[in-house]
Amino acid sequence: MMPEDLQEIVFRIRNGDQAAFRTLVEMYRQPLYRLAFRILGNEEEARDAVQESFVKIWQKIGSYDPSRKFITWMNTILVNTSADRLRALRRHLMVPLDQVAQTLEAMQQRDPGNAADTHDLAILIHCLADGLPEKQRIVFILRDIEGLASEEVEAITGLPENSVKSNLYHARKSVREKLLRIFEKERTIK
Amino acid sequence: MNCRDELKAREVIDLLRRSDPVLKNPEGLTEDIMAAIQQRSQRNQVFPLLLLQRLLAAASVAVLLLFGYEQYVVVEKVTTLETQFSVIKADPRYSDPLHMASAFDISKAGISISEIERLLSPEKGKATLSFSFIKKQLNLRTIK
Repeated sequence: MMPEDLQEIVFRIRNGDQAAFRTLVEMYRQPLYRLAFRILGNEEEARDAVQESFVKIWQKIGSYDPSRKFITWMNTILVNTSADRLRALRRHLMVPLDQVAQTLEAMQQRDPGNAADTHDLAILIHCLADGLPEKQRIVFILRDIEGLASEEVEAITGLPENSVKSNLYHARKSVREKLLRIFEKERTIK
Repeated sequence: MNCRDELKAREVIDLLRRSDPVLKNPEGLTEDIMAAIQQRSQRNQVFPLLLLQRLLAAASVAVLLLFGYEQYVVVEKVTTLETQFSVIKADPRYSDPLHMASAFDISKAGISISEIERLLSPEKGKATLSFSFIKKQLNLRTIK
């Protein structure tokens, strides 16, 4: 979709056009769900976070600043909503390392064209991201998993450049340490 | 972490990046979202009416309270005046207008007792001069 089309949709939504909003939901439900799932690692929670975020988008569309990128603005709402849910959940799924190693192997062997098993993905996300402080978790997911540019991560999280960098550094270090433990477990299984 | 593990770690991150969690029943999610925003819109339409209703109720209670207070103040003042009036009426000193005149500061008004007596003189046929007449006379003198 051309940015002009998106601008037109946003303009119509600002005037209370529900049909235009439906178009927006159909366009962005999957990317927003993917991001929510990566943050929360839970299908139901991610679905609820997406629904809550779209309702907020509808309500706050009047306060949207057109000088900002609309997708970044939507992602900001989603990340904040997901972070609230993450805080409310406060439960970490303790996945045994050998189970993670088996899941990882199964995922690597799967045909890359096929859609990922949501359960396997949830296990991997919980294994890598659980235990990380909230900011580190979000910065790591946005930068390394979603592949967003640093400027965009700064705009979404509202963190300054050096804070994004330091959070990313510490998150990567923790994730690598966890992966190393998984690989060692994998070697012992083999 | 050795080179092999480093590469493997990158592969895992890459795998995570490439793996797209599939949203089950996307149409259902869209319908849920549309239903939620319609519900909010209806609530927003009803809200000003509810607010107006509550404001009107609060205003009528305030008006009633003000009316009650006003009635209390007026009734109390009327009662006081009635009491004072009955006391004054019963006192024989105030039945004679000359005595009433003594209630004023005659010297300040610049009017002598003899002058008042002259005004009230029965010879002139003005034996029943009212208190208001005397007061008026005194006021006129004071202004002059």
